Amino acid sequence: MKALSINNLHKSYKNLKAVDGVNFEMEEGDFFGFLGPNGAGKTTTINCIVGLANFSHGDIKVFGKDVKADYREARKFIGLAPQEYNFDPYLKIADVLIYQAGYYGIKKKDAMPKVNELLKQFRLEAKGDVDYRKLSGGMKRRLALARALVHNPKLLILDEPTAGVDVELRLELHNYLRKINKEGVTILLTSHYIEEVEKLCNKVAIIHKGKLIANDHTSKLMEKLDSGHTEITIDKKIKPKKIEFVEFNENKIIIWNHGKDKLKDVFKYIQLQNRTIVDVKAVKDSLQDIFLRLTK
Amino acid sequence: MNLIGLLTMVKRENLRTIKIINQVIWPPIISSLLYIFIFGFSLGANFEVGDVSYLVFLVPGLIMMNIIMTSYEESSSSLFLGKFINYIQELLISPLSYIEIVLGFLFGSILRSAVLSSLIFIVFKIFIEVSIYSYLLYVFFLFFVSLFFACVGLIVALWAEEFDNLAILNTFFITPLLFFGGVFHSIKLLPEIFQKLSLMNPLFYMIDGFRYSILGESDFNVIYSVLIVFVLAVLAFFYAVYLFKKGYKLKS
Repeated sequence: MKALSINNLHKSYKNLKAVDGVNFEMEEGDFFGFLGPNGAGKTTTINCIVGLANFSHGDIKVFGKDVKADYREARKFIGLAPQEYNFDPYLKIADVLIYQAGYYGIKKKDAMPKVNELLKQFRLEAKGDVDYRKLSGGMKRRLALARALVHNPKLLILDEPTAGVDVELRLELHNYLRKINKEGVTILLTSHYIEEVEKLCNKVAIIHKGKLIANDHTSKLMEKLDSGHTEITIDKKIKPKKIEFVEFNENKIIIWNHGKDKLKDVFKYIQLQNRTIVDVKAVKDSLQDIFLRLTK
Repeated sequence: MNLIGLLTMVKRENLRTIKIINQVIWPPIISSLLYIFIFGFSLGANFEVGDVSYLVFLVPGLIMMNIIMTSYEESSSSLFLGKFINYIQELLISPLSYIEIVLGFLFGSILRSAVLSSLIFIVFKIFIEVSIYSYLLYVFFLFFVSLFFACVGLIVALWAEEFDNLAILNTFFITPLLFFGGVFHSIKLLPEIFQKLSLMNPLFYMIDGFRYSILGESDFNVIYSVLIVFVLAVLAFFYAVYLFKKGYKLKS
């Protein structure tokens, strides 16, 4: 069964098309990266999935349940850790989790084992009786994640879960997310750290100006869109020459993979200019390079 | 039905009341006592309205005034704060139906009103000899007037963009209508033209009907008050549910 299927989603704000005909699907067990520059439509798409935004056209199903017609069933499957902190100011840390479980129909006594497990997992045990405003940024991030998990969701949606988090905690969160993903939780992740998506996600979609411009397995996408390059270092600066897919930069020459056939011309030109090749290396594009190129 | 979710919401609203008890419970009790001492014991000591002393006449009006104020303020401030800090999103993404979310806020308001009105009544009983004439009508007016104003509070909170907006209805509508609605007077004491104008004030029926439930006396036929309060409460409830379902100023 598809964990999430989005079909022809449209969402506009007055004259602005925030999401313009987005389609994608997630299989159960996927770790799905959802990338896009600021204002591309990521959070709007997420809001449409979870019920925080009304959308004009299209349909969204979570484990087969329509998020409009069958919204209560669909929402039972979803856990959301939003980008902005939105904790109830009247609740202590442990209560944030207990009340959240309650809203999902779980009695306190049934929720307590999971609450304690999550407080321990996210090293918040000692803070159970503390006001959330007294937590550090990293702790608030962990609390948001714990809250999203307290009702055992099958689809976890993480909107910038590691924003403002130090490296150590980020790595810790990565390990935890990998673990729960292996245990069967399907994850939709948006992040500004593209290397994070590259490292964690088996599938990636890129949204730009409300449209989905790429959607594939991470490795396939990188293969398909690969524009890695060959970098030649020469002994001295060389006068640039106009050759397609070739860039001259002081004593470095970059030949993009699309212009591999130009290598012969470049070597000829180097020889003609009486330069000596010092180093030649093949460089593979990162997901970040691909992302930047696609969203330019 | 997500009963546990609904009860969790009500529990959360009650927790909020306890956390701000010095703002929402003690001040109305103290101010009601002050009204009784100043208007009842001093100014109205030798004055009667119908068959009862002015002191006793004041009791239902003051309790109803607090029911109205409390139910409006509880629901409006709770929802508006939820919008302001965004924790309303916890509810909006949960598997609670829109009716359940509205009921969660409403029951929180009604409970706060019930507790407050009971406390005020108990305190009044210490100083004044007064008892309830009809428990059924007492509960009816307490419940449906609270329901109506809690719904109005939700509707205003949905519409409001700033905290200041919440005070508009209170200052310019509720308070004047309360004072003209007979909290401190019987409309029979007014000139005929003002008596007729009072009948256009919906709060008059709430106060007058509630007064009947305690004193067994009213200015207007209580059956009409029951019907008017019931219809207003039901209409306000469905409108509040409709706005939540639509996501009015809640969803982008």
